[in-house]
Amino acid sequence: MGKTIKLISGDGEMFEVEEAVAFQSNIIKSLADEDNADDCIPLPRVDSQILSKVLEFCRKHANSPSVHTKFAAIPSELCPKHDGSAAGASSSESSSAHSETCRACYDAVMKLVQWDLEFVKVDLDLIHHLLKAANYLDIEDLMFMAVEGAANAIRGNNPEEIRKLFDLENDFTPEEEKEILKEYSWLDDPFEP
Amino acid sequence: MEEAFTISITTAGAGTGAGAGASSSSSASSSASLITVVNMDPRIWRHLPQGMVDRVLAFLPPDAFFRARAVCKRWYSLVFSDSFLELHLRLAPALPCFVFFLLPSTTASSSAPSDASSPAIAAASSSSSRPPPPPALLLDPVADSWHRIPLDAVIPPGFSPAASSHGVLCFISDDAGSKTLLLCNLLSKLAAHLPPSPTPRLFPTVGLAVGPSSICTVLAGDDMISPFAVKNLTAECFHADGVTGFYSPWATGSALPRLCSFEPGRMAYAASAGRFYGMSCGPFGVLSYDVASNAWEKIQPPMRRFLRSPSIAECGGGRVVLVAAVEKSKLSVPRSVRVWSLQPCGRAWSELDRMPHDVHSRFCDAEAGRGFECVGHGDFLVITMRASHDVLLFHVRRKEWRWAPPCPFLQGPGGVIGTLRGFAYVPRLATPCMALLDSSSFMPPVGFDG
Repeated sequence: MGKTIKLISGDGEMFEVEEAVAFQSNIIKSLADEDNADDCIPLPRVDSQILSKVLEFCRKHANSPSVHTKFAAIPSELCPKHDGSAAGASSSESSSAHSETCRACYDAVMKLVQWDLEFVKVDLDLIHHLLKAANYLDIEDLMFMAVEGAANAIRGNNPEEIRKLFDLENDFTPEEEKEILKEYSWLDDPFEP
Repeated sequence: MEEAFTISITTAGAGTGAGAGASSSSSASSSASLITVVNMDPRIWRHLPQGMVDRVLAFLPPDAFFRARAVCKRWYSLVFSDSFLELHLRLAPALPCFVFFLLPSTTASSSAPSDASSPAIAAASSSSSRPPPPPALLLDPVADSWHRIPLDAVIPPGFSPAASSHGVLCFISDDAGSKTLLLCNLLSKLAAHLPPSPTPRLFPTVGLAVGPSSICTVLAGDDMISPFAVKNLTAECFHADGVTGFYSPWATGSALPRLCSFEPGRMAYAASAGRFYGMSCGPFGVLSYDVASNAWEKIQPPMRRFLRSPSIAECGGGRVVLVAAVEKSKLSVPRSVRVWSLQPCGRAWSELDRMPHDVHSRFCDAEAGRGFECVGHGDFLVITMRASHDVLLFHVRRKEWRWAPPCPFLQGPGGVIGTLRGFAYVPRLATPCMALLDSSSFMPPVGFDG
């Protein structure tokens, strides 16, 4: 199984996970490096339910290329088809050449992206907690996906709904508001004048 | 603003209110996915740090972002905030989109209206008879949605769309002679003009490549050797780089290879190679311009005979493709439309795919031998046909062909059937490269009198 890390959530529950999973979080990684005697890392700001969800994400991403880079530089070692049979240590140039043409890599990344999008298709409250957890634990990919999930969740909302959600006051005068909506009327106008 | 998480869990079943989202992720093993979080402070989002709210806003697609500007004054002014624009530049997913302009059918073979029979007459036509620029029709091939962006308040009459790069669109003056190029950001409605190019040209081919702090544009061909004669002799390049301080306003000239043409008058840019590519006909070959060495070359990898309507496009990763119709030469070779990819050595084409039968028959009905053109962006290749409003999409990696949904802005009764000319476009709020142009070259908004 490999070396494991023990994490303790804010409400006292213990999670034992492989290093590769836990080290998706830069915070956990740096805390583990500090040579804790009992190998238990406390995370007082993350509750067990959220931590469990975060670890689900990390488990999926433990051995996959970063969502950010998509196919920019998938090392051949991670290619599901070529599976370690690629010759030697690939330079970054041959990596990008590999991922440009390898259909298996492309499919694998697309599948992961789809999984991620489904993962963040949850209600806004959960996304909110994932955002804060990703920020606190410094997990780049989760942050990226939580932001995308939040943006997707609110993209259909009109200004009033967004105001309610973020508890913002409408500080425009009615005239100003009319001007703004007129400025962008092309967004909703389907017909040629 | 950090606070401890306090969640009270009331149910562990497959979602009551949280519904669809929770149940779809429950197929992944963890039981935590099934937990519904309730009894939350409904205004919890206001506790999100401002920086995080900005990140979410930066991620919104352009239409949602502009709607969000109406929320409050702070959000409205984000577009003017350097730090937000920087965040946006860094974070906003680069949507591979296309913008199309409907050009009258008769002018489809050139980049400017040809209602004049000679350059001299065109130059003499008064500005009041020139039509304003057509609106930009934005297609998002992933979401399959169309948006219409009017440009009559941004671009004056007498200019036509010529090239694009990232979030910048380039328009060229229609008048024969020294050419003025306008660079325009469709979303922020900013437009700035380049200094006029020295060599008089009629309908030159334009190539554009911008980066966060660089502008490179090439004007090639159609040198007017007399008021009534044109020849493809030279090209000139405008190059500005904010990082190295390099500034060459049309000072970089180059000679074109002998006997070249620029059909269909477009150039594609491959960033990885630092080169522009265009199609040359009679005989068929690929013209390539290397920016760093300011040199042209003609690449002539072996091509099939009986090709019709070839065009060069660039797909993601600097891949150069050729799209052409293969006409029937023998009974055994049926007509087809194929896509070839240029090998990295530049010496051979390898066939990537060809139109499947059902797509090809609809294509033949729509195109009817009139000719078609092609433009690429990211994973997508787009084909438009003369005197048709149909748009065909090809996903280069998945090798999938499909028709884009009909554009709702072209459905009006009594509309003229024109030709859709497409350009690769990335919706970008900020195009910092435009800061390289002198502030005096920025255009004021166009009034109703033009």
